[in-house]
Amino acid sequence: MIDSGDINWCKETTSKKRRMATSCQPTTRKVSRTSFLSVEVIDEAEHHNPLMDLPIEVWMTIMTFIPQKDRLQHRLVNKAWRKLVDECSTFKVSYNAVPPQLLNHVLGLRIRGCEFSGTRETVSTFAHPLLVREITFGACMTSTTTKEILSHCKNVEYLRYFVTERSDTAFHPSVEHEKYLRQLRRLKSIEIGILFFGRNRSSTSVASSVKTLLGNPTILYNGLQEIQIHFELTQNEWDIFYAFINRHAATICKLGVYRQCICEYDEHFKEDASSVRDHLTTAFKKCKLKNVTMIRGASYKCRCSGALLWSHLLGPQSGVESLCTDLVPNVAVLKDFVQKNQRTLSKLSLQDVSLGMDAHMDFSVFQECTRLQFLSLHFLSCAVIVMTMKMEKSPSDETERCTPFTERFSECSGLQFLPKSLKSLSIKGCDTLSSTLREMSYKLTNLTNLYLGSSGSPRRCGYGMTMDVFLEFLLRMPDLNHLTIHRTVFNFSKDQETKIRELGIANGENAEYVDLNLSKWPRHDLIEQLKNMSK
Amino acid sequence: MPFVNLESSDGDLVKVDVDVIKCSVTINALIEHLGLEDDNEVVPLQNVGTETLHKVLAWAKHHKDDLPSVDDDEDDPPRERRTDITTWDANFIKMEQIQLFDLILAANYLDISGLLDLGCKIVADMIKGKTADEIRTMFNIVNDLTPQEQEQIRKENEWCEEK
Repeated sequence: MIDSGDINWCKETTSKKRRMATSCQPTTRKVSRTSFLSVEVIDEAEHHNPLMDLPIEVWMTIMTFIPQKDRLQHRLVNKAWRKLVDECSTFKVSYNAVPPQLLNHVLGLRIRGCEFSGTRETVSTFAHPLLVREITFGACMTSTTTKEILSHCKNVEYLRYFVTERSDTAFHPSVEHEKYLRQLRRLKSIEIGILFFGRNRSSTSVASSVKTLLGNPTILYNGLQEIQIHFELTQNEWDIFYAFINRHAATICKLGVYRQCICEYDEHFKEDASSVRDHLTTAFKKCKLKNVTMIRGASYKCRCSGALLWSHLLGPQSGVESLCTDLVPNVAVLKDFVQKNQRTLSKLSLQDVSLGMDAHMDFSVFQECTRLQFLSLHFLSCAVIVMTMKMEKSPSDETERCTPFTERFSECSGLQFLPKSLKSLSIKGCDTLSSTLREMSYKLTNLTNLYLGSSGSPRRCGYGMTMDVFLEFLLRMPDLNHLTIHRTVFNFSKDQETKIRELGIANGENAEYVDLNLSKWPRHDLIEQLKNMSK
Repeated sequence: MPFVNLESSDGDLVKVDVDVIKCSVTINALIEHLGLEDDNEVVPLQNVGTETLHKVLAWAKHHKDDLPSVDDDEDDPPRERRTDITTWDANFIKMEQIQLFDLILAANYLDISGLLDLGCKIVADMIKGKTADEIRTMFNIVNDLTPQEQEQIRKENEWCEEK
């Protein structure tokens, strides 16, 4: 168990002041007094690993790059290493998954994130409540417990609240939460998920929870930067939600992320797209958005609103840096928009775009986005669209609109116009023919990361990432470090796969994806090795 | 003052463009603290050897146009981060462990967050995915945990292992 004094110790060692103070003092590099691992190592100079003598503050940084799963395993190395892991890293836990007999121990650790759900009436106290930065309230929380938790964890930055039950009263307005919410002076982000399926729910309770959480924003959350809302809206809630945004526009313009999920159940959206567009227009005009996620599912009816969305998000007044949406207008609309906004697009800090794609995309639309670094394309599956449509009244022109799932990527043009600034490209859901990949290797020479997701296609002829294509990638894309390929796209022979594993560049045996780390070998050597393999 | 002379712990002087070494919070602070105005004045770096200093400067030169990284809040607990490394950095950091150790200490002393992160990522990569046995072998560590203690740790670990 760590005593409460460790909080101060942690603050000191992580701070810059500490780093400067430590480092500016004359020290002998070979013997570090700050390392607490070195005392446990076998005292044989010739076997001693110098990395063991790194100071504590460096180990704290190292721990941030090691996944929690591995860190937990490393608690079994020895007593000193367990101490290192426990004191130099933080953990995320699911409170209700912890057996009661271990609760005291778990809460004694340095917990950064905690997820609560279920019906435990009393909540044990964290040993380091001020280290807790992320709290998630799941289903069936009572008002009393949410209040109790918030009263302890005053440094919370990320508050998530997911409602899955009609009877959820975690933030019921009849309970005075405001006092505790007011204490969360570091709160940066609120994420609210109303995760019902169907319409038989109380819009009043949902709306009241939202109101309680967002309360009086000008007083409660002056530093709030982000709201993420996952709503499957009914018509009433849609109105309440936008009314709320409009009413609190003064605060909402400080928000960084605005997220909205709209599903196919949303009759209001389907039947009156123009009304929704008006809402969006108002909201986007008022909010100074930087990061936007608009996921609405595959709805053809309102595809037209995509053009408007683009013009609001990427138009002259936009400050958007990151965009994730499945709303892509047709190419003619998009081209027209780009033509009108060429100057603006080049000035945009557009760094990260994730798009749900229909067929016939023209990548030249990104030509002017000279700051674009990350692009993720998810080609919509026709099968999913049809299935979704059947849950509601299908549009009469459904079959006409559904383009064949095959050759989606081949139908896209303008690949060569993707800006040179592009570092990372992710492609999912399209047929990935060898010829398409070759084309890619010619035109995307600056990429450092490429992710080729599932194609879903049964066709195997002339298909996917073969060894020949892979060699061309290595030759033409000198900065490509990481290549992640879904099994349906990965087309090496068994012998070839065995050998790349022997070279140590492929991770994840039998995994759904083959993850290739190309930085492990000098590029020339790697190509030579693979060429010999091909012979 | 476009240039500054850095004196390594071995007593060697290395002349460097101030623009290149602006990534070092320590050197910037020393220049300011010592009130250096002349190109010929010397900034002593008692904790950095000549070989390591050259390595640091090579990294700084390559990254001199990088955008400054956004530091965590001072009293922010550490959180998990991504470990992407560029090809140039991957080639740069290929060195013996003793050199890597010196480089990390130098980056820590000079307060160059980008280089410190790179060194830490490399050490993390060495450790990631390894079993407790492999770590013991790698660092030549004796297991001083009793079987009962190991069993207790396994139980403790169960509550947050990814299923």
